[in-house]
Amino acid sequence: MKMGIAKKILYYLVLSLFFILLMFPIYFIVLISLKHESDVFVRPMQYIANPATLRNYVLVWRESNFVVYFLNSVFVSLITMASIMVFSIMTGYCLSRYQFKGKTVVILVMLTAQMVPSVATLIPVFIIFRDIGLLNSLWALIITATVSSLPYCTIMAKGFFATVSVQLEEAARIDGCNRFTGVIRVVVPVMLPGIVAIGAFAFVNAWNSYLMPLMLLNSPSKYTLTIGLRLLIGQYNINYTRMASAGVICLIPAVCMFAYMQKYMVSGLTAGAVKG
Amino acid sequence: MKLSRFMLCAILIVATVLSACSSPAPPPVAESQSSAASSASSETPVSDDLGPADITFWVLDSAMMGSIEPIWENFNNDYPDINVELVPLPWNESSARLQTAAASDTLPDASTTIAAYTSTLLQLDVVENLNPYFENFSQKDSIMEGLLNYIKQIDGTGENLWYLPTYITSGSIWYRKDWFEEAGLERFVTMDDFFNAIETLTGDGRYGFGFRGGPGNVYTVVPFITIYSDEESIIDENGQCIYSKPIALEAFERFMSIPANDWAPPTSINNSFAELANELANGVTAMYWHHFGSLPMILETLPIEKLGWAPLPVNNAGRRMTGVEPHGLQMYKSSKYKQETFEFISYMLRADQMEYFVANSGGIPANTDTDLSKYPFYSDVMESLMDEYTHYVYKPGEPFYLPEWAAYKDEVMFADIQAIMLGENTCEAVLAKWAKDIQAMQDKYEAENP
Repeated sequence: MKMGIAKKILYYLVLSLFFILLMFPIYFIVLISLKHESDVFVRPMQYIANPATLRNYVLVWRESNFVVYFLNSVFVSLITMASIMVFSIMTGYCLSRYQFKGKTVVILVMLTAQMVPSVATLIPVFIIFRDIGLLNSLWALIITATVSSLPYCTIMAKGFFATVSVQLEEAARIDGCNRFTGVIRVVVPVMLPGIVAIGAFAFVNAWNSYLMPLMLLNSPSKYTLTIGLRLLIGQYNINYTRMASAGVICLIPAVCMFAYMQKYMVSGLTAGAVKG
Repeated sequence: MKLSRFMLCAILIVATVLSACSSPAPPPVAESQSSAASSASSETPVSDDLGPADITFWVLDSAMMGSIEPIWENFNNDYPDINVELVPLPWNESSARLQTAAASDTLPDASTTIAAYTSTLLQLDVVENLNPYFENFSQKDSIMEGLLNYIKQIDGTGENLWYLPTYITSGSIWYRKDWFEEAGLERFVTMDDFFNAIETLTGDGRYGFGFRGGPGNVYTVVPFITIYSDEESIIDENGQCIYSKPIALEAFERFMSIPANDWAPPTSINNSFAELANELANGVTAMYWHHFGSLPMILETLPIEKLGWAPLPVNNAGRRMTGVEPHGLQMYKSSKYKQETFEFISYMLRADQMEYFVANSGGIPANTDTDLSKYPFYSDVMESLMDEYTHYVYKPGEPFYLPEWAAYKDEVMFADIQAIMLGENTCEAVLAKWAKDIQAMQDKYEAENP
């Protein structure tokens, strides 16, 4: 009995430590966002903002053009997420259910594509988009984000499809569904957690993308949140409180998404890990 | 039947993607950056009339938008036919963006700049020579001649005006006037006064000097050696690197004694200018070296009554070597509307427009007719800079014309300074290495450019 309590205390202690380690940066950003600029570097450091202010959020939203950046990021991330979910489901199904020549090569190519850093492809991507007239376009970001995340998401989808019994599809076909309808109506709902995991991964990757927006966009009206954040750092001027506020604003959609989808993500990620 | 439905879906998706590819019209910037335009030679402009034009202007430091936007609005009112798009860029990536754009023929019509950037772009042959345009500028006689000469020295010839100067950010020591008064110290003049003040003001949890050990540490260490050594540039008139002289070592060791003697906070190893400004404002350090650019940032947190400004200390030869690297505006050869573009960038040089740079960017304006009466702080600064010690250095203190210089300074010298602060190397060894490497660069340059 005593050992049981001691063990529990130890577990909670370790978990609390990890929690503090992981959450402290978030807490710190929120803390800075609520401070006045003059209080940021005061020593000793104040761990509670006193006096606190929400003025930084108002300034960021109103004066730093963040509304435009936010909407651009939402647009790019949502379209990217939808595209990846559609393509990865279709491709993952093929790789999981069909046997064809070159299947192993296709999977290997997808895996090795993940090893190529995006900065290595920056110049050819830039030249291609320039030549086809897609420079300074949000569609360029959508295409690059989709292409960069698609291999990994496809491998994930393949794994999720592998967890779904073939008999389920056969039962659906017996009931009158064709292959496509069977996948959409029967298989996909069963692997919903996996699909949510894929969508969340794709969204967050597109949301956090910085290098491609930086190099492919030339108009402030097309900038995304990541560039907007970087614009707050001047050559001789850094407004830390405004940066922290902008950082919190950037976090909100991703945090909300994860809070809502976390149960799907956990089961989805682990389900895909078992069978491949 | 099954196959046709699947094919239909696939066709619809492909059609959607292709329609998205074709729907956005190429931005205006693409039109002025066609390969034909980029290969056009830099011809003397002949047109006196300014026609309708779409111009793209990159602001390489987004914080400068506060200065440039009001000027842009005034320009739009005066020149409604010239449509200027302002594009702010993150400062830290601005150099990479410019070089990428230069390599891919997607440069804007004009942009802000500094000497280091222009010297890099000159090697790519994308910068327009502004000499023929500047001749017709109505206020050219009001622009500080020394700044124009500085810019002309960037390529080593002293002949070509590669960018228009907007303002200078002369080396400055910002200090806590209230601390000096408490300690009974006068504003320092000589090097000995300067170091004495640093040592005196260290104690009771305070530090005498905010040492820039992090990003940009070379921007204080390198000029200090030059100033202390009573030299105007790292390469002297005989083409020799000054780092091989004993006085350079004395300067280096004296400056690095500040962190070595704990006269600077322990966090100095990572301090950039932002941390220096905040440490001063929040009562950690008594002074730090930067320039006018950080004045707006300091005043966000420190009342002006507590803030003091001092010019750089006078060296042992009795001179205050004052470098005047100008910020500026440059035009690119690929611009299709050169006359209109020059009209825009020269508009920013007018005395009435220069005030926006003074008010927002903390710079000393290049146009001597700019009314500074509204800014008493500046008047004090100008008076100090006119004293008998000040020796203006109207040429680059760094050898920007050496192709390897920028990378060497930012990567090798920066790391070496931090190594000394960590006790992993000595000033003597580092300076000897720098002398050898820089002399080799200079010798190679002279061999290739007799």
